[in-house]
Amino acid sequence: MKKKFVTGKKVMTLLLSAVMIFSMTACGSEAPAEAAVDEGSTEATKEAEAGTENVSGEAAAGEMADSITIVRTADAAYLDPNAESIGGAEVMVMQQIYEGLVKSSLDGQSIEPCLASDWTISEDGLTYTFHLVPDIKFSDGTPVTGEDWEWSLLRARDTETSAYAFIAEAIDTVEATDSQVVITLKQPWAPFLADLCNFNMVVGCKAYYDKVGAEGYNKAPLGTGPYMAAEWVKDDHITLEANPYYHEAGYPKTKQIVFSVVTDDNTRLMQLQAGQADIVSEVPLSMAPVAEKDENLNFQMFDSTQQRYFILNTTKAPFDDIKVRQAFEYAVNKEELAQVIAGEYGKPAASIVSDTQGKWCDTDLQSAAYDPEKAKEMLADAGYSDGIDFTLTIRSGSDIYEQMATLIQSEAKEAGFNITIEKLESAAVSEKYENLEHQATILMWIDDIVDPSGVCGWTVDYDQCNGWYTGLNDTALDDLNTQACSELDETKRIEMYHDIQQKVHENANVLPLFSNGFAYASGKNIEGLYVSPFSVLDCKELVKTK
Amino acid sequence: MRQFNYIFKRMIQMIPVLFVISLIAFFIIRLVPGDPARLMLGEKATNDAVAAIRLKYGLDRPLPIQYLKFMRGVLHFDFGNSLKFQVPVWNLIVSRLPVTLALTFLSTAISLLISIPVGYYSGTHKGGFFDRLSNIWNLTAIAMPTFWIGLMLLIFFGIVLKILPVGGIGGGFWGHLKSFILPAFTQSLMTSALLTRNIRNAVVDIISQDFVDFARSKGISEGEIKNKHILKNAMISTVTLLSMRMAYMLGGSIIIESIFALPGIGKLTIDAIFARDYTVVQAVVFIFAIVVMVINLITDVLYSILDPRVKY
Amino acid sequence: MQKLLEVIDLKTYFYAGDKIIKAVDGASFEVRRGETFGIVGESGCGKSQTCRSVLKLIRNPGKITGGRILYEGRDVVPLSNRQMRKIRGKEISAIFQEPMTSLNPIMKIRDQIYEGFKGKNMTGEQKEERAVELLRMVGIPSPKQRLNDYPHQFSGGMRQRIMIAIALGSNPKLLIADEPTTALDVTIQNQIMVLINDLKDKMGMSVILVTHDLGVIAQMCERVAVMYAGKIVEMTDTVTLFAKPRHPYTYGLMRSLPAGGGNAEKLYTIEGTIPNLAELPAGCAFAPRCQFAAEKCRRQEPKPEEAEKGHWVSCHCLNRTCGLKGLIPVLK
Repeated sequence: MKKKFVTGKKVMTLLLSAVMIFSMTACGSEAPAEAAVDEGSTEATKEAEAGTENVSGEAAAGEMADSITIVRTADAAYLDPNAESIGGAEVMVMQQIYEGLVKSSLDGQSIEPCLASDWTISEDGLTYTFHLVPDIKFSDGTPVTGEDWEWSLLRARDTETSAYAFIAEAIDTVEATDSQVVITLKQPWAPFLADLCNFNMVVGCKAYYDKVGAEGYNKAPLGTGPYMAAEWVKDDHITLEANPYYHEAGYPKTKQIVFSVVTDDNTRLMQLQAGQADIVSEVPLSMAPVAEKDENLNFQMFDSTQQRYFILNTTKAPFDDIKVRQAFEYAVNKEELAQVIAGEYGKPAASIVSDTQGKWCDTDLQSAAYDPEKAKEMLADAGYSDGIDFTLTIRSGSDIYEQMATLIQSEAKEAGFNITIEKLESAAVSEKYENLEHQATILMWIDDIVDPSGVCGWTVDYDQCNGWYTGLNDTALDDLNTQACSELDETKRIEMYHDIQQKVHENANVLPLFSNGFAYASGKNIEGLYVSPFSVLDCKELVKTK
Repeated sequence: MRQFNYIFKRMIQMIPVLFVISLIAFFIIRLVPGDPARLMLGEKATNDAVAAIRLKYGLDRPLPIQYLKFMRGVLHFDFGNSLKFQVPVWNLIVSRLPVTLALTFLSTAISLLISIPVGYYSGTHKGGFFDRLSNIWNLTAIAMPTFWIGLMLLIFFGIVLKILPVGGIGGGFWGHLKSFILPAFTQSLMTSALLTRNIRNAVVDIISQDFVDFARSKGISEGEIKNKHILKNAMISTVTLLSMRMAYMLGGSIIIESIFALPGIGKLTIDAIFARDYTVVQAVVFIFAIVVMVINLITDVLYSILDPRVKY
Repeated sequence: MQKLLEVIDLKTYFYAGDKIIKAVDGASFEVRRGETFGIVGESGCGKSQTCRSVLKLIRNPGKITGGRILYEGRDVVPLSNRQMRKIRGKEISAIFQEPMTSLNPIMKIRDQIYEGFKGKNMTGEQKEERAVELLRMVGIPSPKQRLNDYPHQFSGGMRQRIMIAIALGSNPKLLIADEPTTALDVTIQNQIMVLINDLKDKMGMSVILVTHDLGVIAQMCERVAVMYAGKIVEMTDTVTLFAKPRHPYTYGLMRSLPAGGGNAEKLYTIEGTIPNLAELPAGCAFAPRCQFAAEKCRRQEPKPEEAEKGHWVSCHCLNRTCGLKGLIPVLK
């Protein structure tokens, strides 16, 4: 029986899908027009548009490839440094486009010049004078003016909806010319130089903003950094091209960087294995062995300021009793946690300040060792011989949080703490602890600057977030923290912060658990991959050999 | 066309339904705990910034006022701006639509390409080896988890054979086609299994009817019997099933989009829900209610065109 | 009179699982040019399957397992579907029992009629002309408008006429009519019968008329075969069959006819039921129900024998007229 396989209906449906795909091609290639840097296309932009089809670029000739693809879990929502929603996904891209006066050193221990060549600070600590590196231009060739600096820094402070406006709070006035920037503070502010390294304290072009408006400024950023944005296909990829006017000769080393988005962990790693991607960020530890065994891949763990913390709500039972909180410290096996979750790269943490902050971290502070018997004793002494029941609220859908919660649950059980794990969707969890309705939760912190004021302020400055959602208002500690920010003598300041860390430990409302690094996997032919403890990936050094 | 009256009536009927849906769309996401302003700012949200955002986006206005604003916008096809991205919601949805549309149509095409011949052959050789084999395959296809199949296909074609890309949407016509073939195939498994069963059963029913024998007795070719008599009758009920599946697929498949890294409607919606991006969620719910209703209407009309016995 | 169709020892069996259903088990007959040949019997006796076998339209899981079917001298049993297509609809046409389900419900009448014109080089206009002519011939009013209608817009009687129109569209030499009036009202029945007769005379066509209605046989057929359990038990011209039925089954059938004119007698029925075609008894299939059955009947299957010229009977008791008067039905 002969069968006709090609019927009218099938032809129609195939045609329709072909039409659909064609229309997608059309839509896809509209994006460069949308995200084009500016109207006066430079050579570089023309090259960019020609090269947009070739996402995983292979070099035409020569030793080094023209394009490197970095895959991550989420796309950036904004590329405006003062936008509302700035997270790791945004920062990773913005760091390549924008620059500020100063920057953190690669090892995260000190502050280095960037667009400022040197600076002086007045005796009273209120006036900072920065001498600018001459002839800096934006990536479209426009020179950076004093007006740009004033506008950018004040904008960082005054954008109320910006998540990081508080970083620039200390600024009183900014006066800038083409060769220097003078910033006057409202009060002496010790972390100020570190604050200036933050990703929102960068220089943008006022004239450009006036021309394209807020939306245009966000979609097609203009900065002085080693790269500029060439194409942005939302939720798929952002293509960066080398800034032809970049002030450091010989950089960036690779002409094109593509940040692409793949949410699924398996698929991300598979793209690396297939050669479709060159670098993968956020490699789950469970997949590290895959990358390590594959001889074509590198697996690297970079030191980070990332730590996990156990948050105890002091406004509700049982953790309103400080004795219970102190007993809890002995109920947790930090060594085990660090090892299981972060492998050989995990370290138990004693202080709220990460030890990668160097001198700021109070290394004398010791973690209590896991001692369930002692915990039980302490509970009995405090009048809880029957043990303590409480609910640990964590977000669902995260392997790491689930693992931590389960481990802690079994460890704490030995110590007389019966934990019920409550898994809620991310938004529901945050609503719960923001309203102080939880009993305990687990949160995370990564520093953005070379200064302990970030995490300490967050823990101790009650107004910011209710004592890191513990509800503990230790006014003495709060005051100490405020003083520490104004203390200009570094030695004294270090002492104050060590004090703060000690006192937080005594309050036992925030229990540091462990630190883990940033996990990256890359092809063997990638060189120059380095991530700072603040999670900054410096793309200008990346090189891919063929 | 005799159906014009009917179409008109149906469209009038849609209006009260749409009103109810707009209420649901608006309120359901707001009833869930979670504050979009805080979520926008992330883990380091200070109370001041949260207050400023709520003010900026009108999140502090009373609910009925926000609802009225939503409805007024809807009447002008303006769904406002996404809270998270600050771009018009309509633009966001439209920019994701091509991916979901391409996936839907390609999956449908693949499903039909598989199910029509397989269903036909199984139906005309009922109880035979092929029929039993395809039955087992159908049950397996329905039971297999999409996630697993997708990953297996990616590993095999992307890493082992290296002939197809591992996720992403690709560039250019052939690039897009290569990127979509695996996700479309994965998505088509469920649909083709259902369609095959449906067509097979319809074919079995039809070939036992007299008109097939009568047609054959006229001496026309088997091909014509297959197409004009058997398949055409068999596909009538299939049309309903197919359109239901298409409506479902147009809602986007979050699993397929995640595994194959395709920025489609599914991912947009899920992300919007997690971020409590009210404007996006309410727009998506509302728009897709309309899409489903329109598809139902088209299906009913199509059915009456295909089957002249149906009276409207 | 020449033989148009000759069927020799036809066997059509159905294979369902491990059972073999012998729907037609060794039937032999011939149809001459220009004659109406009737096949009569109860439901399930194999008459429909015999017709379908001629056109090789047996449905799965049945097949022709033996015998020959000679059409104009040529055996069609070994022919492929492709070769059969030259015969179907052109040389031999068929109409079926259920007019309500014999037309494709979603296809216009026009197209279904045109399907019969395949292979002929006709323009659209010519096709329409011929279609209208055919419809008029079978008595469909306003044929040109009605071409665009669908089957459900016609009554049962009209649909049957349309089927006839389609079947006759290509001037076949043989029309196989399988119970064409069974599903219709009595008043319509007559009309259809008259129509077939007229057309047959006009076109010089032969007809195989299958029915369970002896009245129809009497009205329409020159010769007739009686089938029981897949076999032809008696075959002769119509008058002889009614006057001198020789097979006990035929006799039973005749007696079952209600006598014309208000006779208050109880209706005669043949005791017992037809046998299971998958488990036929050894010997004569009718033996269990036959009042004249002897030991020999139960052991040995009777073969067709020519009792008189042109009168074939499959019975061991050939000479027994059973002391009956011949019955000639009142209908004519």
